[in-house]
Amino acid sequence: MARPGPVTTHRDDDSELVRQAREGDRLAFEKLYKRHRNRVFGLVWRLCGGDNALAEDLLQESFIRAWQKLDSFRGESRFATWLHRLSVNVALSDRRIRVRRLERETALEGTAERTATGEKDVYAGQRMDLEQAISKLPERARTVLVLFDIEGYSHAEIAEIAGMAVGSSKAQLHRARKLVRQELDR
Amino acid sequence: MNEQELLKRIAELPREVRPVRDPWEGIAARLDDKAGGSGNRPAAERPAFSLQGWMPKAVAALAVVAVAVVLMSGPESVPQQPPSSQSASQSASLTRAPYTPIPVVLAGSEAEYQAAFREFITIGDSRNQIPAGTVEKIETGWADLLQVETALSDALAQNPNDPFLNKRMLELRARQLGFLRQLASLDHSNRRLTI
Repeated sequence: MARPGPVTTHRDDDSELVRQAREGDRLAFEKLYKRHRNRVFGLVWRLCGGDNALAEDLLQESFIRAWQKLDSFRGESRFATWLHRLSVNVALSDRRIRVRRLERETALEGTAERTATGEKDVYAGQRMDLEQAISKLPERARTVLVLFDIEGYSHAEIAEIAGMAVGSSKAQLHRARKLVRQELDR
Repeated sequence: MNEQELLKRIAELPREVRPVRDPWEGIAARLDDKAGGSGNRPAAERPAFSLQGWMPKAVAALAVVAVAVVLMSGPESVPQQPPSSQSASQSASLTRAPYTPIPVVLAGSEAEYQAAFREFITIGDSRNQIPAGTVEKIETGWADLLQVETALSDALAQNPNDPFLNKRMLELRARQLGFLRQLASLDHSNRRLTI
């Protein structure tokens, strides 16, 4: 079964920038931001269901939190892994509040503004359909699908992060895949 | 489409997505404000201890303790027998704590609570039929909730976007709703609007 690999990443040369940023070097931190921005944005954008404005807020909050917590980064994992996990926590904790507000305030405002990836439109052809199907998933189902199928987290990790049982994570994944398939088969 | 095909397509999704608007400026501004990474900064760059920042936290902590006390008192403090109209309506008509605006995240809960309060329905004249201790429990329970409401409202006025406080307020509203509904359900036969 094809399954995405573990959480990226390709940056093994972050350690020096991290060291400088921990000493208060904002320029070094900006470089880290530029390296990891799109990766973090892709994550939080999918977790929040493709809401561009919210994803930008979450991206911003993730890097601010990272800056504040750099002292706690011990280098035991790669910076990208640490940042990724931190961003997931930011997105999930934030959504618990905002989702309720959005459900009440915005009765499906219609198609959200979408985002470009690289030189291509994310929503070209089938990819667009798939992203839309994922964005339409119920909250918890989408969280599990994004983290497991796209980001490569294990069910145990998802259970810990999202505050659910491992069995619930598996059930939500099954449900999410089924719903996405149904949406794509329409 | 079968599951294998779906997983193949998911695997082809790009992991990196470029935001339309680069929020770096906002990040940089807040880094300045927060002076993050202070642990490794010269002392001169670290933010000084601020009473202004400390006070809301203290208020929040007090509010949390108050909520905990009330929540731990539990629904058992609500009587299981019909109260009199006077006792119930007296509970409902107790002076309500001053209420300050709270974030929109609470709007639904707030509207529900206000509606329940407005429609708070109670009964005739059976106050004398229930033990004085029960009446006192009702009134004390409601007063406790109002006290917590006051503390939380004050804390929220200081920190309107604090997620922890907002969550506590939601819990408090749920508890107040439950209280009102329990009272209202104690006697279904002789209802009237009190407000």
